[in-house]
Amino acid sequence: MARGRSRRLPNTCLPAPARQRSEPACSRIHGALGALTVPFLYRCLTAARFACCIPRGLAQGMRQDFCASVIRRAALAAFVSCGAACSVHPIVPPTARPLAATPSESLTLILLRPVVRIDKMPPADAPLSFAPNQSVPPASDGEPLIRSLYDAAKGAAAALQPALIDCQTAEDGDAGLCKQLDPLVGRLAHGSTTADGRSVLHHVAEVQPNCAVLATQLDVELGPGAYYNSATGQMGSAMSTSAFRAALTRCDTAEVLWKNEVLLRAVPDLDSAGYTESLHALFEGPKVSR
Amino acid sequence: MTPQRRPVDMRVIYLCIAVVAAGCSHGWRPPLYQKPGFHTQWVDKIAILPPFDARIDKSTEVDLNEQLRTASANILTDKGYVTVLSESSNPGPAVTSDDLAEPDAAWVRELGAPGERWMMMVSLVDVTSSMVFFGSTGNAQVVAYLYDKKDGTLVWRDKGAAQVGQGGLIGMALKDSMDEAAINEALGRLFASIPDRTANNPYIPEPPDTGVSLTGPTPASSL
Repeated sequence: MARGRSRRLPNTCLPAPARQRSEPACSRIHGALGALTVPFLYRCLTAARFACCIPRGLAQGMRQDFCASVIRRAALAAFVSCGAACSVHPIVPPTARPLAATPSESLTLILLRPVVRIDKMPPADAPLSFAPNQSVPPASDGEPLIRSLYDAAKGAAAALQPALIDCQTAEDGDAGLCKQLDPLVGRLAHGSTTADGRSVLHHVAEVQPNCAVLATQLDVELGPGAYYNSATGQMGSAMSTSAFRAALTRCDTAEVLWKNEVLLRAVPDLDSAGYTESLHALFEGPKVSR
Repeated sequence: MTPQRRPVDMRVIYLCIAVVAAGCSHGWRPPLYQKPGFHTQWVDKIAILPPFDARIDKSTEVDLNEQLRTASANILTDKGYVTVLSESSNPGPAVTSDDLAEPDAAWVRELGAPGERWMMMVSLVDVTSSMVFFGSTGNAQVVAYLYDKKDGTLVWRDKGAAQVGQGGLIGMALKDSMDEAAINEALGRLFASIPDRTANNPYIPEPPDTGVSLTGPTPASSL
């Protein structure tokens, strides 16, 4: 297969690591079928060809080839520039409900610092050079994401009108509570706790009675980008995903009062509409859906 | 005089078949996680638990038992392992991916039937298929966990992701099967990190003291 003829989508949503291409070996053979069908499809576009190729003339054959080439390139450009990867919307489970609908009488809400976890999908054909954490951006790169998650969580928590312990600005005793809870954020955001986690929560409840913790996490999976191989007809959609998770857990009983998760099939981009919609959907429920 | 036809050299045909077969197989790669000191050579029989659906987007209908559990058993059997479908109950909605990745020892010991030791759970993280301009595509992500009931620990974990798609009329017609194709491809890649059970990589019972390294080749070095 001519690897060099494979076209990658210039998807600006994807960072450099996500643009890495991994071609499934079997699909290469499978893709050979497509090589036959794609030219056939071009040939079917007779109306477009006709429109392109009048008036008739001596060089009609050449013009037809030219037109077929133009149509092919236009089709490729349409796929390349408007691929599904750029029109992503968050996917919200139908059972999700807004955080503000959670009963929270006299609750003290501890707002934990969000966690951003970035992982990379294993490549298809990289036998011995694979390193799981390769190309993962340094932690500092996640800071704007953390801040945006934090702002969204704080805004949603304010709607509950609780007494708020803000772990971003907490001091003295409150800072100590936050420090104890920080390692649990990942689990708490999924709405789960271990026995150790429950004992930490119980200890926090002794210091701060009637409290609940709001944990937020963003799991980013960097995968290969979208591609189209005009030689074989083989194509693929971008694989990167962002999973937003948040949960509100009672300290004394470890009962999950509220939780929600939202999937965005793209790398998180603070400026994208998909990211903003995802954050909104995470705390406000399924107002936005596919 | 009629020219004599040269007989087709069968070696060329065999070579072509071998090249095609090699292109379709997934080469070994290290797993995302393998417990220090653990060797896959110790694994004699793998009991495959009911699969876990870890998807957020559950809009695609998937027969988890058939497409994940049975398919995984088939792949592992082809690799030379003895597999059995464990009749253990489903992990339930309370279990999360974190619980599977960092399991509680007591929970692991309760998995499966008595007498089964190596328990595997396959989890579907995401699957999607879509009609794109001029064709259709499918993406899938799967994760598998191998537990040792003896000490209640996770001994191996790996992830498989696949991106399939086809342009043209055939590709557009195949849209409905893209998710299944993506899951199959992802499973193939997932189990690429479990070495084939061959004469060079036979079953070796775990030595009494697991701290002592094996005299035979380790899975990593044998491949």
